[in-house]
Amino acid sequence: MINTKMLSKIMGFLLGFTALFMLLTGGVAVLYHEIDTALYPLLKSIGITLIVALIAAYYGKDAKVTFSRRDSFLMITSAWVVVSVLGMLPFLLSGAIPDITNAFFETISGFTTTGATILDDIESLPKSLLFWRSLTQWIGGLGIVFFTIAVLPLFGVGSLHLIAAETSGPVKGKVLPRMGVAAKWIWSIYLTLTIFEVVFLLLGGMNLFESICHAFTTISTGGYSPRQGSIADYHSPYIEYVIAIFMTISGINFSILLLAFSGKIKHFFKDTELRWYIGSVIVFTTLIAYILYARNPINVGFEESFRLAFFQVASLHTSTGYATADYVLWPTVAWALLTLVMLMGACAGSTTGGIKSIRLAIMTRMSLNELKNLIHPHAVLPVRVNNHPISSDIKNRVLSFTFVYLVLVILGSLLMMFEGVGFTESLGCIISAIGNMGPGLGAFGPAVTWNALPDSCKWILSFYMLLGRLELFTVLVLFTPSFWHQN
Amino acid sequence: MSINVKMLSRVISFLLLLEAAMMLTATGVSLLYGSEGDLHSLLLSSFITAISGVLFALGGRHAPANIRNRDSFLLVTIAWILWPLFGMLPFLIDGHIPNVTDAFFETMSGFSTTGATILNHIEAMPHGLLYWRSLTQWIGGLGIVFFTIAIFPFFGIGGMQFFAAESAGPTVDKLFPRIVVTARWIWTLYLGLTLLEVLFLLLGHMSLFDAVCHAFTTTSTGGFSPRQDSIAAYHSPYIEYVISIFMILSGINFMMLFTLLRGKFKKFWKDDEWRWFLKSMVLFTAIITAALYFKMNKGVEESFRLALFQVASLHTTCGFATADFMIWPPITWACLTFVMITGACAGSTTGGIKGVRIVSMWRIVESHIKNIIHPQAVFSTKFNGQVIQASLINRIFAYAFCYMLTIGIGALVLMALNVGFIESFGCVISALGGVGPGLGKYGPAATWSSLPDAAKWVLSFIMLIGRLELFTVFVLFTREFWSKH
Repeated sequence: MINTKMLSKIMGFLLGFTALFMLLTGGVAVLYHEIDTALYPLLKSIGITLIVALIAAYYGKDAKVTFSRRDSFLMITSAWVVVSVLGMLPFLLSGAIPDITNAFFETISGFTTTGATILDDIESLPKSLLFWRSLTQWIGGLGIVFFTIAVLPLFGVGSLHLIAAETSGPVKGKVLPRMGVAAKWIWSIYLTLTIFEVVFLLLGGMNLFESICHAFTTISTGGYSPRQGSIADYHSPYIEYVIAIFMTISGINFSILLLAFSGKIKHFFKDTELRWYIGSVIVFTTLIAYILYARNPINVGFEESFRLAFFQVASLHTSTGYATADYVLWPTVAWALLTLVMLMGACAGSTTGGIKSIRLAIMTRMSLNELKNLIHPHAVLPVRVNNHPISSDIKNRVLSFTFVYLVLVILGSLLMMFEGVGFTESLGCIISAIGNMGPGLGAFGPAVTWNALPDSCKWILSFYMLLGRLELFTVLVLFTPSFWHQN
Repeated sequence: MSINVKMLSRVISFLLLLEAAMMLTATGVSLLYGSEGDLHSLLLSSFITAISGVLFALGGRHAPANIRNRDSFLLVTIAWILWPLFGMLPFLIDGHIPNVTDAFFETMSGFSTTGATILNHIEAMPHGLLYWRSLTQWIGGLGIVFFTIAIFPFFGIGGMQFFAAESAGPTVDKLFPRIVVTARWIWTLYLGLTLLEVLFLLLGHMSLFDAVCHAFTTTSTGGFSPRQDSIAAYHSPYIEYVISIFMILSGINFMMLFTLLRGKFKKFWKDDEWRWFLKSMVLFTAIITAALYFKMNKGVEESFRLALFQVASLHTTCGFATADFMIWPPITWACLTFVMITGACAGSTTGGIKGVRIVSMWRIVESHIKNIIHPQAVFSTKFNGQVIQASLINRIFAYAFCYMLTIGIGALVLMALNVGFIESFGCVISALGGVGPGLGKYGPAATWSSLPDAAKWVLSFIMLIGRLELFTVFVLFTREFWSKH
């Protein structure tokens, strides 16, 4: 049944890694002479994490080398939860975030690359803790890309973008070598992009610390910033364009990015999902730029309209969450368009959240086919992506996913409203959390933190961040009775 | 082979002549009340409609006897545009609704059984016109039930494929006998329900005129009322309960009602869609009763009655109101918005996505989740004991996707016209589901008269596509429809 020993062993391994990253953060604390405020709490956190890691590893030392589907689902979900629990220790122990609800929220918002924050005074935190905060997103982003590209498809979950690639269905024997190969190139692309962004930001006059923090949270499409005012604080068009471009790139399927990096430019541009995604970014940017320019509510010129529109669209389309404007002050139709963008998300196989372009592409083509089918009921009309016909099975999964996504949004909003949060706010926070965006709507828009929410809502949203990050079913499956039955 | 224009013309003439005849009954009512100035407008409108009907009949002489998919889609859409186009004449000619935008909106709201109104002084309208207003909903309701049960299944729309025996395009001679048989019992049931309600309302001391008007708009789940305050105007718990029950009955699949009347209670009770509807009604009534009792300090009976009425009204997309739910706790009207989207059962006059699709989608997702755990096992999804075909699954989900997409785009268009966030969503969801009341400023305590004209036209269009189950109209916008293939 559930191979608890193996799970424990892997968990020990993951926690060991977490401790290592905490150690790196400790180095930053030393650099900034934050001995009492950060270093000691970090050392304590490392200590606790290592102890838990060792216990877990010890429990799993004679683990059988079998790993079923159920094990993998439980593993992935547990990984995110346990790492978040231990990852909040630096915040708790240092007193930077003394409240457990808030500390857990902030940490899971990190590892799920959401970026919603409860910190009303970000800049008062020790620099090393701000580093840790941004680092959690970088780790979370890398983890999710690795899982969605290399691990989940082997178990038939969220494997859409691999339609054009080789894998299909569970392949027990070949698991480890394949994961190894995938890990290598994913890690390279991820690291390369991060370094490139740091360089470009430095060229824009941003200091090294902030460049690294922002690069961490851009490539992971997380959105945490060491500045309370996010990117707007810099008042620098150059920086805004640089980040907008890197956000857009981070929204692309890593498998497709690999094509570009290995010189297969033609294939890169022919990818169906890429075309939908870029097309969508262009359409929404144009619409919003037009609205801002034509309505002129805040006296913006042509370039500024475009820049504001492009940045916000890129930010929310890729579920990053940076802001250079308080869009709730924009005309209603403009932030309503942004809400739609929040639901859509970018490409599968990237760090973004949302429903994802490939699913939208498939569903739109399916709907068009349905219409054609009404006229020619006996015609057989396949839905094609990258010129491969999509199987019925995948079509069903796409539809199921979207259905469940919307049901969860409705349910979550109702729960929040039950707790006294307003209509627009509830909808905004839930859509933001499940899509791992960051900013909400109305009273919880980009200019405000989520600190004022009731504790119960913070827990609901933490759960939703997890759900969204792990593509819904990975977590939902744990709630079905048949998961826990013997065979 | 292209569109059978002559046959279309023939059927349209029949529909227009039917409408003219209905207008004549309204003139009868007008006479009864001493013709408050509306007699000439009703007579004139009836005359114009009749002449047009005759012209179409002439145009349809010697029509070839074959109807295909495309003909029926075009027919149904044209019918629901022509009916309000001629049906708004009494209002326009009389001058009571002087503006074309408003007149068309109100009449489309009638034939599409929506019930959203732009009239700020309903009770100042002459009786003949008020009667005509309610009658448009009764006609619209009967028409859609008929089309959904007797005709649409042949062409693969309406969610009734679970209940239809055939689904290949027929020729007129195969279609006709079936239509005649089906028409008879649908008409009987529809009329029966209407008369029964009139009786019960009369027993509650409602005037005959009011009783007839309300029965017209309950059975059709339309929601127009000759009173500005809707059912709240009567301050009568008895009337509220009676209408609640009849609204629920009108939300049930007519085929199931027929089964029930033939004494097959068990078969009725076991229907998957009915069970879903009942559970949904119970759940939301309970939630709202609790909210009213605990958060608004209303008595138990009053909380229950208010909850039951509003839930029944919006779940069946009828639209009557006995309270301004916008002043209730937000979770109540959020729940009500949700049931506006789901609607009630297919094969009734209700709008929305409808139970048969909701239940099917839910079960498919359940199968899918089980499949994730056991990928080699085969899980079939069943509805009422029958396996749901893959092609049907696709169609159901595609419908729900288009439904939500229409809501999104419609709301964005309204927002671009300066309508607020909640209001935009409320109006579009309400119009698409044929409900009636919106949200926020356009909630049950207000009318939609202050909407910009452009928004009213957009919403008129949305009422049309909502009533005709989206695809019927969407298909007209595809290249394939018009190609000579």
